[in-house]
Amino acid sequence: MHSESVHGEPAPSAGGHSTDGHQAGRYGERAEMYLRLLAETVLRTAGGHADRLYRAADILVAAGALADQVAAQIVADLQLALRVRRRPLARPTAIGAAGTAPWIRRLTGFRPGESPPWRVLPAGPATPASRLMALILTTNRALAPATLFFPAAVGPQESYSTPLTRLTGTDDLGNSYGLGFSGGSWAGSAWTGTVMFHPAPPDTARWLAISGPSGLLLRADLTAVPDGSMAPGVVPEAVPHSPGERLLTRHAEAMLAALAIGVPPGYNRASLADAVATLEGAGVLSPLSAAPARLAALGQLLGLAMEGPADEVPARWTEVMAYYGRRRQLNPVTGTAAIGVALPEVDGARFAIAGLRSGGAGSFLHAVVQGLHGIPRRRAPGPPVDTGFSMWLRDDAGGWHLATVEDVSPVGGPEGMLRLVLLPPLGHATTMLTVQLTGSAQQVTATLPVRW
Amino acid sequence: MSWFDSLPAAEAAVPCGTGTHAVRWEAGRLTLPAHPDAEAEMVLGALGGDKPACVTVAETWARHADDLAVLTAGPRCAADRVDVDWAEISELRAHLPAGQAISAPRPGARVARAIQYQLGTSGGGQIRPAGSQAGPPFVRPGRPAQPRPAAPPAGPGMQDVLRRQLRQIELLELLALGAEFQFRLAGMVTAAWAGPGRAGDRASRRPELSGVLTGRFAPAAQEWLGVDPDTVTVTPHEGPGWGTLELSGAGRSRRLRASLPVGWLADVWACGLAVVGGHLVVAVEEPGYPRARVLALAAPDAEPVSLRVRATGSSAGGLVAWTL
Repeated sequence: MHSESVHGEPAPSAGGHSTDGHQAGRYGERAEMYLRLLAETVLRTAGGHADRLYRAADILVAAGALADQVAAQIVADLQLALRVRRRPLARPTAIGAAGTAPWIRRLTGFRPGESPPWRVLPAGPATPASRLMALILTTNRALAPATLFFPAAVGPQESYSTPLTRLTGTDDLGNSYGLGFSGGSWAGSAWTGTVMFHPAPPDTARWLAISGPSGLLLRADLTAVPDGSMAPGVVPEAVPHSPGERLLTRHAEAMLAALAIGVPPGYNRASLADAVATLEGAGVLSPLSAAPARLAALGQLLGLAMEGPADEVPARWTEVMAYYGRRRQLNPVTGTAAIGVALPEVDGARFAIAGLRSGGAGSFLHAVVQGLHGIPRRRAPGPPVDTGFSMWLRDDAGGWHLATVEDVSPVGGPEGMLRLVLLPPLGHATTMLTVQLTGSAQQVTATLPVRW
Repeated sequence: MSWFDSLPAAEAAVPCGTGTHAVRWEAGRLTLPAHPDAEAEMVLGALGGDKPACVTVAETWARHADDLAVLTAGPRCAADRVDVDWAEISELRAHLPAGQAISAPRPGARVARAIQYQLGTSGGGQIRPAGSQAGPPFVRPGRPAQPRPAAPPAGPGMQDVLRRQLRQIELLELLALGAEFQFRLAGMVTAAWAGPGRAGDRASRRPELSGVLTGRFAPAAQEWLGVDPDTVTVTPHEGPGWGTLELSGAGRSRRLRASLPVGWLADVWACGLAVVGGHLVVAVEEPGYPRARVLALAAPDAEPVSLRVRATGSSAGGLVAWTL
């Protein structure tokens, strides 16, 4: 019904959301109108089922074309209208029928452009006792993603938290800090996770330290320069693709991640056709777009009942497939690396890249995040979570790595700590990473030094 | 001349106290024949006295005078029956925590009559009118009110939930007045949105108004042309003239796109004038009852013509019926 071209559509302004939840830009208006007209169709059709509307709402919210509050209001309006006509309401149960993110509002109360900035301090050299990735100062705490190396005799494996509970936090002024530990994992006697210092250190403090029974484990310099609070010269750009194309691309990335993790892809021909019909109908995907064919081609290569031209599959997708298609895979590089750079706000969310941990279990990027949609406090095992963003990294040998959320850890405030698994893992100690972070409307590309 | 000049008076019965009272709509106003001094009763209610249920209904009517939610729930055409009974509403109110049984304000509502409400903090942070006492507004004859548990203090999130629940109950109360009142309420709301000073509001709610217009125009277009209502799209028209109409395609790909002012819903649709004698009415030149003069199209590509119409004296599904 809406045949206006979706090409050349200006991207919504930063954040893309107004205070009342209405999505900025024409995409938002088109998507809302489509869903409201669909509600009228459901209401008009004898026996018309609201499930159709729920699925469309899922898809448009996941595409970033429609604010979740607006979608929820339209669903509530339809439910009331059905109720006063003595018609069945059906669910909504957990929304996500089309493999999209559940409707969980922004976790954090983050106000794009208004919340106080973080200070992201780069780490010094590694020591035999620890490798700090970065120090991130928020309004009420300091976050120190790091690997701590305990003496083998201390042995954490059987008594998971014991070595950590013996640690103390201090600064050069003699202040003591409450320590918390989040998102940790052990590899032998090495622990990698985030240490939280509470409260935030005073401005006059010069360093923070973590000590254990056997002495100093980690010291973080609070006067370190350069301050990595923002990657220099990195500015958000408009995404040159429609929200519908972006959603289908994220679906493809989820299929690649599912291949790597070894879980079912969660998509089939019917769910793809449903998503494409909704996105085209809402005017957020051009009928001429190659994105559906690209996704179908990937599905075909992955053995799903889909068909598409193989030459549409981007090279970086092929790289991931090729790695996981091998009988023998190369071992990931081992070590912890510091990065410590904040990225500018993208689509109303902020990210600070702390660093990397790589070893036998794979390569993981650690990042502090605030303002993400649809992300649970801690994800369950299974298919990757759709955060509304794509993240790709390119190493200094030109290899592409897809980063998908492996773990989400609360860190005691409005922020969350993401552990993103790199697919495929890093095969060598790259000294540079180009990070490409793409939301529904905005994207940033930053080249970051990596110090192992 | 007003949009409601093309509508006759209507009456509905409302459970009030131990009996049933008439609520009357006439010339765009709601009156309470059983409560000749309703204003004094509102004051007494605000001071803590018992407020009659039909006075509460009148307040609710005024509070939702420009609430678009009335349109998303209400009927789209005469055949679209919306059915709410008072027992259901009484049941819903009974499930609210004690002290919540009085109407809540709608945030941002333009209320025709200024009635001060407050978000009370006494009595456990409950939503209530200033100085009012809790009590069931609708007690069915022979059915004593059930005691309800006292409400625990409500946090901000719970207050929002309660506010939404109360707003929904209020909508149901208005719909329970019956089909004639449902169309008149829709007319009142759309007339409020059609005002010349509200172009900015209309622009900010364009998708919602498109849904409201399409939902009501599509059945009329089906009656007029036999088109599939799912192929009809209407967007709000701003500026001079009655709007536009464009029929394209053939067979299954036939599409009807229209642009109509929001006021069409009040002037034409709510008065039952959408299709008269095989013509689509696009505007009302001289409102009146039982006779009016309208501007109507005989076909999508025809020029509108001025027609005299008269009410048949009957109504279908709450809508007045007209003939040429």
